[in-house]
Amino acid sequence: MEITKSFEAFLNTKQEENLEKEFASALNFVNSAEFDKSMTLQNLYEALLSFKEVKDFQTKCGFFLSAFFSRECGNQTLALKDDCQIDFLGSFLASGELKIIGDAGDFAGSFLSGGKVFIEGSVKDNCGYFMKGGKIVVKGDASNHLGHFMNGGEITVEKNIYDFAGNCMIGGRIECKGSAGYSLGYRMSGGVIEIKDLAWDLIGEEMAGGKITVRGHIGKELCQNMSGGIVTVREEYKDTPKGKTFGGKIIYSNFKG
Amino acid sequence: MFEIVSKKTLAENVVEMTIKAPRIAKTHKAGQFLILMNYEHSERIPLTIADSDKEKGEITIVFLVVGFSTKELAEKFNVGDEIFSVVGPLGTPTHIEKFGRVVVIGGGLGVAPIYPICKSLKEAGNEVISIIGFRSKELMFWKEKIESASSKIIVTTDDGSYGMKGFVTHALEKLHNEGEKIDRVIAIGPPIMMKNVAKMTEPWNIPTWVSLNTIMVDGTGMCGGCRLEIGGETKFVCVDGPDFDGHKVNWEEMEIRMKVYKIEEEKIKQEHQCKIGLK
Amino acid sequence: MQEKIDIVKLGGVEEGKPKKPRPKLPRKEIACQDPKERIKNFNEVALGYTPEEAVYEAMRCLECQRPRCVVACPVHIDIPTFVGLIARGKFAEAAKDIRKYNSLPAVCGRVCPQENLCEAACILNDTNPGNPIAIGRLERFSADYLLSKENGSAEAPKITHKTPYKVAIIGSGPSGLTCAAKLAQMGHTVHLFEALHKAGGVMMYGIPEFRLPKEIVQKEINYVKSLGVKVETNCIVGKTIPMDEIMNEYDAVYIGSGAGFPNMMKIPGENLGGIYSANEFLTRVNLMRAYDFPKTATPIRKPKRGVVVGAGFTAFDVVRIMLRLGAEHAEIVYRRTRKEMPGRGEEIEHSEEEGAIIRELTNPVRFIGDENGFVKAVEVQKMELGEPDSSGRRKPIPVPNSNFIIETDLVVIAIGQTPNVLIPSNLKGLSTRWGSVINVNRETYMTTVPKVFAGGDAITGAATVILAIRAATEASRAIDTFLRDPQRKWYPPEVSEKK
Repeated sequence: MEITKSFEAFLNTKQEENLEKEFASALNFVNSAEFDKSMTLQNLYEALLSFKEVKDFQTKCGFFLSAFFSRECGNQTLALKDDCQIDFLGSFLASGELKIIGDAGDFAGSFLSGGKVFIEGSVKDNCGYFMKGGKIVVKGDASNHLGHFMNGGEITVEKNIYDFAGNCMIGGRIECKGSAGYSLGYRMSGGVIEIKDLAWDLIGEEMAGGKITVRGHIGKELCQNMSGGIVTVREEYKDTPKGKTFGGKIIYSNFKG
Repeated sequence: MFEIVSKKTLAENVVEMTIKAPRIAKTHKAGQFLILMNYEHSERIPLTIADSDKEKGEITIVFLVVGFSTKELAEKFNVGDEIFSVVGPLGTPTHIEKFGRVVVIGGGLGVAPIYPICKSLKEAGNEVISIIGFRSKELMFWKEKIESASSKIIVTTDDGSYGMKGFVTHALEKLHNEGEKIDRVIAIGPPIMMKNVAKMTEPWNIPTWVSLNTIMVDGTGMCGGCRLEIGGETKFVCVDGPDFDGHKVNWEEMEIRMKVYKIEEEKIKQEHQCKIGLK
Repeated sequence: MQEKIDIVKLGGVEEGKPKKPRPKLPRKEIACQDPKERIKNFNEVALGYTPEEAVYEAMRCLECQRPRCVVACPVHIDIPTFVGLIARGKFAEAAKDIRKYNSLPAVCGRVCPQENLCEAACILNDTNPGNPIAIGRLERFSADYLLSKENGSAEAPKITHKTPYKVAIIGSGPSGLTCAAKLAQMGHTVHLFEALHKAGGVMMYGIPEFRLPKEIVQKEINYVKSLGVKVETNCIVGKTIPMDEIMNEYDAVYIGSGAGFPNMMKIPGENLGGIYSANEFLTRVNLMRAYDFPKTATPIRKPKRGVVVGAGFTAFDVVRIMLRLGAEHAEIVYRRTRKEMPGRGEEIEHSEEEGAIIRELTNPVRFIGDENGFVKAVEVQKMELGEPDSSGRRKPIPVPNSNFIIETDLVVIAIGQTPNVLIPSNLKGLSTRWGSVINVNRETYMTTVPKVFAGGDAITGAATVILAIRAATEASRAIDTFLRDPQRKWYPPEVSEKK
């Protein structure tokens, strides 16, 4: 079966119960399709764009591209066209290096277990969702829910991240060279979050473990209902009101040495 | 916009109006009220719903021309005109179940809202005795309608020009003295009447429910303008009521709260009415 | 008909040319009505920037690579971009850019507490202390510019896909309107229900004309309507339309009913005549325009000596209204000190300019009535501050034998609101805390009843407009995900853990 035909068939399938099954289904379609040995991710993406108007295109296209890449692996570059957001780019990757030029949609690099994803632009929600290993580098901003349920690996964001970063995080590392928004490390139980600049309200709410470091300004309600883990903030904020805590540790540091 | 379907003057200063409001008609239950606004910048006036017709999608209100806005409504609006806003049905419906023998008392304008209550009580299998009181025969209205919804009707007038001479409380006292077993009393009318009924039934240990009509703005529990002490607690008439246990109402406070806008209302009468030519 | 803006003359940069920021310059103050004049009218106090002033302010912005302001903004408006557009003379485009994130820019530009949010995070605070970019004023400027150009008939953005799903939104306040606008843009059919006769919620009945002109609110609502949202006023869900009917007819329901139930003091004499809840007072004045009496028909008691209990946003609004209604003396009674006041600095400043008196560390214990049952005085007690409580503020403790009497003829109680009980009491299975605050899943805004989402003040208790907008924005995404999910998976909140 030709690859675009195979994608059309995949588009017409009903959405599976969970994301893993959806990916497995996409992988099946990719494996059963026939295509040139010289076919690159870029060529495939451009071919699939003709289905842009179809319902669920954003999701299905992302799964299909990810399935294709995880079959081929290697070192590939994907230049995105601006007008159509694509979700699940570079998800379920186990090895290889993927470079995305442009702004990725939701769930970029989700379920990553190895390899590297470079995004030369910003990402939308849920980047690095359920990530177990590997590395994601985002050159632009990351929207809400970065590293949700993250269990391993590393995410580096060059600019800012928005709300709920490291939500329910279990392991791994998030590093941000800019600032973070609200609810950083909500219900986090492991792993490390480092923010170079400011982080706004509700840092470490209901946190049970792991480490959060914020080197810049902080917002209100630090460590509300915290029961474990370590939060490090600047010395100057020693007197800012804290939430009620049951455990864990707040360190006030001058970040020298 | 809500269209007026019919308009009738029942007695001096008492107007009956039927308004097209399908949604309210559909969900209305006995004891509920609505809030009406004549024009965009008019007052929000609370009025009891006197009757509703689900099929036609119409509701009936009966109101007394007292303040500025009711006067405006009575004089400036005719069949076919549209009222800016009607919102309802508000308040908790009257609690209806099979009580046995229920005495429903309506005084003056209070006669209108007891009609749906009598109807529902009768449907629930109660024996309904209604007592309606007016100042004189000229002010009497809806006697037939109430009669049709109850098993026995007693009419009283203050001057004796029709039915029994005296107040509704006299009729109630007579009924009680005759040895009739009364299971529940529901009274709607001027605060002083409801107060006297409640005071009378208290020693007889008859559950007595009254329907309060305080000053309110929004009718959804937002402003608290209708707040009142009921059984030692502050309640909002618009959401917790308008029906309350008459033995628990703080009647003194009720009287005070009814007077809050008296001074301002005098001002409206003087300034406002001349301005828009009602006087 | 776009009017030509000569940006170089205004002091900005032409498009395509590099901008030289001037962060060292002081922040441009906004022109206000003179205090002596403004207490005689209900017109807006802050007059807004002129194009020159706006461009001057926009030229100060560094347009940072890693903008902190965006992070601190609850809805993450792309601030450097819109400020940059203003500096380049594209005022209307700037407002359109804001609308991508926030459907009510003219409102937020006026009432957001920017000094605690975006402006607090601005990097200029480090290099030029006390002079962050006036983001709120710029937002207001561009939004007003766009609204005046649109002239009430906004050109609706193109909606690409129409979905077959129908969503009911209960309450047309900031959160309801935002959620409606977002969902309509996603292609869903949206019906908005409002209990009062006018849409706008707290923006119509709560915030006074001199802080947020009703004409502006109406224009913003017209924009939301232009997106295809059907607004039904005079409709109380649970009363006019039964809840079951809503549940059967719509694929999802969003509750944005706000916090409209006034808290009372529960002290003797509270039900005397002349004592208002802030809600009643504000509704009479703002929504029913009692100040315009006798042009409008709703009366209000005009105070000579007014007393307001509380020191939040609402309390300051009330005290300023009292002065405008002709009070000779109007004071705020607050049990903590100025430092702990939840009201905005700017509001406190404006109120004092207008002649309001702030009495710190006093708490009413009793209201005294005259022979007609009207309030004539308040008995108050002195307080002192003790240890900080759970909210981080120091707890006031009464000072024994310190009672004294303040004479008054009108008291307004402005000590906060809780959500209305109408919706929770009409919807079976809806879990609430503290009586009426709806419990939701923090991430999906789902309640314990399938298909029903909630946001805004209804889930937090009384808060600010922008937080309501934030909740609505996130909820709209969750609703969209839910509607598109073939399994319609439901993630209710964990109720047991909540108090």
